[in-house]
Amino acid sequence: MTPILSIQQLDVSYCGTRILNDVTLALHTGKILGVVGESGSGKSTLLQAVIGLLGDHGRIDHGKLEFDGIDLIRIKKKDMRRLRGKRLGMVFQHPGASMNPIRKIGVQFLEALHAHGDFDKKEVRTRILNMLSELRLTDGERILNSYPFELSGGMNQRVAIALAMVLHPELLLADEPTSALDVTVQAQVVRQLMDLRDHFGTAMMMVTHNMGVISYMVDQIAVMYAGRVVEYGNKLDVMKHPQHPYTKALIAAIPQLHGRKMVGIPGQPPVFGEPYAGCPFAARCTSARAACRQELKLVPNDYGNGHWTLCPYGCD
Amino acid sequence: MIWRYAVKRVLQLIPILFGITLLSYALMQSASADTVDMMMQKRGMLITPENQAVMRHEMGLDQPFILQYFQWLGKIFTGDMGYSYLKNMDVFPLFMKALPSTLLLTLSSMVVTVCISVPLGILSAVRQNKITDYVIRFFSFIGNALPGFFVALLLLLVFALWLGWLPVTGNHGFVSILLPTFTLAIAMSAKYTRQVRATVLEELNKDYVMGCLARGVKGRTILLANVLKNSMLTIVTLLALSIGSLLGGTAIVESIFMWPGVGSLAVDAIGNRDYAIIQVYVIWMAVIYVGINLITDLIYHFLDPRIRMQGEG
Ligand SMILES: Nc1ncnc2c1ncn2[C@@H]1O[C@H](COP(=O)(O)OP(=O)(O)OP(=O)(O)O)[C@@H](O)[C@H]1O
Ligand SMILES: [Mg+2]
Repeated sequence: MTPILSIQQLDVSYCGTRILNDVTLALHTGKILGVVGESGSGKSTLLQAVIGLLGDHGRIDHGKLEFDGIDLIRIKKKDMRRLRGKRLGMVFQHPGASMNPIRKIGVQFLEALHAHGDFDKKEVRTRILNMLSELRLTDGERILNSYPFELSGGMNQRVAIALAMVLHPELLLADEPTSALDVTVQAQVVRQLMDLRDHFGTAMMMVTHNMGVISYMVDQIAVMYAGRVVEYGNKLDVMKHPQHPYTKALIAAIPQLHGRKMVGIPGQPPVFGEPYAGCPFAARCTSARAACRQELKLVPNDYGNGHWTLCPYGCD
Repeated sequence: MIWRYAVKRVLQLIPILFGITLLSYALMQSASADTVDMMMQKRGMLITPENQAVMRHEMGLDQPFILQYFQWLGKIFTGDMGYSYLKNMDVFPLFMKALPSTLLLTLSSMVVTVCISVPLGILSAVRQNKITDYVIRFFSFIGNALPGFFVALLLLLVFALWLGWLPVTGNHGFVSILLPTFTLAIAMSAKYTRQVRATVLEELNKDYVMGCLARGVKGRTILLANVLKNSMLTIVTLLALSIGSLLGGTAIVESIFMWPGVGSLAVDAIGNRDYAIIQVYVIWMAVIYVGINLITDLIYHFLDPRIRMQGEG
């Protein structure tokens, strides 16, 4: 089966500074890919590159980016706009931030729909209300008549998801959609995202810091470090048998209810644009060898079942 | 409801206006010789101190200050705003005759300013750091740097003297308003183009623009239905403040073009120490500023649901 999204050897830079390096990932219909990594590792940049919203300073320098066989790098601007919202959706971190604060939610739904063609008035209404109830927002009429600031954070985030999903896109990009919500609401939103996936077969690319969310909802995990994907694989393979020292450190840093103390990762990742020899994690790696700081070749090491890392010395 | 808020705000204005009138009355009383002295000066004759006392008593000038103030205020409300020794007539009709000219000039220069600065500001923001933006910014810089009287003289020189297209001064119907209008509008447009640009740029960087883009909303819709609407909140406030200062009469421009508005009236009055006019002018300014502030607030309320609903709660 061909993947709905295929990213190959993607390099992206901002103002000439290379941020993403050699990113290769694939995502299949109906699957959820979790992207993890510490702040500044390039997770948002990756999502923005996919949806073509890198802004004036961002540039894709090299690589391939294909959505359902469509080349997203060479696509015309006009055609890209038509894909966004219709076949590619995006949800942002701050609930409500993606909505205009001084326009009613209903108007913003209509705007999103009318950007992609003329719809029958009745049809539009049922469509919006259905999508809202899909997210357990039963009070649809009232919500459409409200402004974003009148709703709670959790409700806003669900409305934002409904807004992104209203045209049933095949791929939903979600940039930390739950991090700004409190824990109980987080769980609901995660649950509803999974329901949406089940109902519409939407493929999702989820950026999150929350390993709990990861272990609960995703199918595959991509671990990013300093603009590279350093480990990729099915959730269980990566969680149970992490091969890259950075992944291990990340998993060790998951807060536990009982027992183990949280282990941070000392040190800083390399600064973007400043060259480094060998592995970008070497300076912070507890099991680094001399070779890691010099001539190490960053090629994927296969562990079978699609699981690979950029570290040649993986061990269990 | 917005009406309840409006009524509340108007009621709040009453003490403010009391304060301003009281202050201005007190200042005038302390700064000037009183009416009897003025009459003496004006008529160039001496009045005996006994007669002066009689006249002061007749005019109520020997009463306590606060009583005089309330009497004066009561007269103001009935349209009796004193007598101008300079023009030999009541101040109220004098003022009412000058007001339409000022209103007209305010309106025309605001319209021209909005028509120039809003499109240019938006264009400049959308084409940020491209050639169009640089050209617009260059001209707005020049427009900002030129003093008003210089622009006035320049326009007079070119359009009235060299080309002979427009009358130099006075009010001869439609054409006479062009030069003072553009003199005012050029400086204001320069200022507002920059402000509109800054506001639109700020809005363009907000998250909801990213959200709209991610939903595939067309660029034109984002600009007109979202960014512009949100920018209006700021722009309206700025414009309202300018309307306030224009309604006060733009003394320099009105004087240069001999535009018969309240600005020239006040300049004349100040030059001739015609206190009755000055006093009315001060009150007018106070009413304008307070009134414009109120209207701005109400518009802001109307435009921004966040504030609107706070007021309701
Ligand atoms: N618009 C931009 N212009 C210039 N540099 C940018 C821009 N956006 C991001 N960057 C840089 O790109 C790098 C990666 O940022 P990115 O936002 O992708 O990280 P992230 O993994 O999403 O981090 P976080 O977890 O904090 O959201 C950072 O060093 C950041 O400074
Ligand atoms: Mg991010």
